[in-house]
Amino acid sequence: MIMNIDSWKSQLRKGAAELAVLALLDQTPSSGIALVKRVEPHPHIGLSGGALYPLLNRLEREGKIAGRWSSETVGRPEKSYEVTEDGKAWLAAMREARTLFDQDMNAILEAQA
Amino acid sequence: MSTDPRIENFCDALEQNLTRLGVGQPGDIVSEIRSHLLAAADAGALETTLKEMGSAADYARQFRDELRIEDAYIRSGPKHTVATLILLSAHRLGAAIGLFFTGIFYLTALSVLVTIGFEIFDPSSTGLFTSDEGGFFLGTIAGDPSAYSEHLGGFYIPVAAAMGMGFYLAGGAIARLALRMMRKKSSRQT
Repeated sequence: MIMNIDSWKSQLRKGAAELAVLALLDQTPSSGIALVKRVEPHPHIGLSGGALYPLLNRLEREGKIAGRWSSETVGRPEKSYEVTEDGKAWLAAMREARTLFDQDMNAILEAQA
Repeated sequence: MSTDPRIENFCDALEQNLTRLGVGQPGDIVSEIRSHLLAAADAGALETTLKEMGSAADYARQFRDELRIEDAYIRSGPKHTVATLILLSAHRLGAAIGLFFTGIFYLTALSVLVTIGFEIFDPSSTGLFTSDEGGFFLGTIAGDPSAYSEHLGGFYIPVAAAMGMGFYLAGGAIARLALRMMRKKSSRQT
């Protein structure tokens, strides 16, 4: 039997990364660098700096987040992102779906235990 | 602030690759990545950060693939899924295999549906034929059909339509499966 927990984890993380980024940006608008620091205490989300920027780029193009350049850091401009109205609606729908999923999954796992 | 030449080398190569792949606003992306790398250099983590990003060409593809795969997966229409598989098949084996089988199923669906037209204009040459030797054939026979027995008769059109639809749906399912596998793979880089 082939058992590849990393492959299964990666499937689990794909949708979670988007939810985590939107939730973090909804709490506080941040630059990519700041976001990397904010997800560092949560290694199980599995979101590295390298993978963050393509995701931010896609979310911005989809209109879920909006980026704005600032030059608060001397000599190093940063692009700060915030969640748009469309992004907030999307985040609310994701949260609801996640809650229902967790409820059902927990019920199954607890029944098994 | 660090001025490590590796940063500019990476950013130059990234911009070239993003432009080549047709990713919009490459300058904007590169400016952000440059800031990220400068911050990493200031924190003494440039080596690790560059290693994490991989080559500039691979990293540029992550931007392109993130957009393409997600877009095709959400829209799910044959136009988007096939276009995405064609685009990605040059460097992703999963896309090439998915494209191959999707193509076979779509072409089979098309050819079955084309025989419906033959059934309308030349019903004696089109149908489900069997020969005395036990062979069978579904479609249109170019030669003399009297050497075979035809079984479906007037039911050929609904049967062929159902088969065509079945092959079409199977092709779409394979394309979605290939995209799903690539989504999984791209998330593995997360």
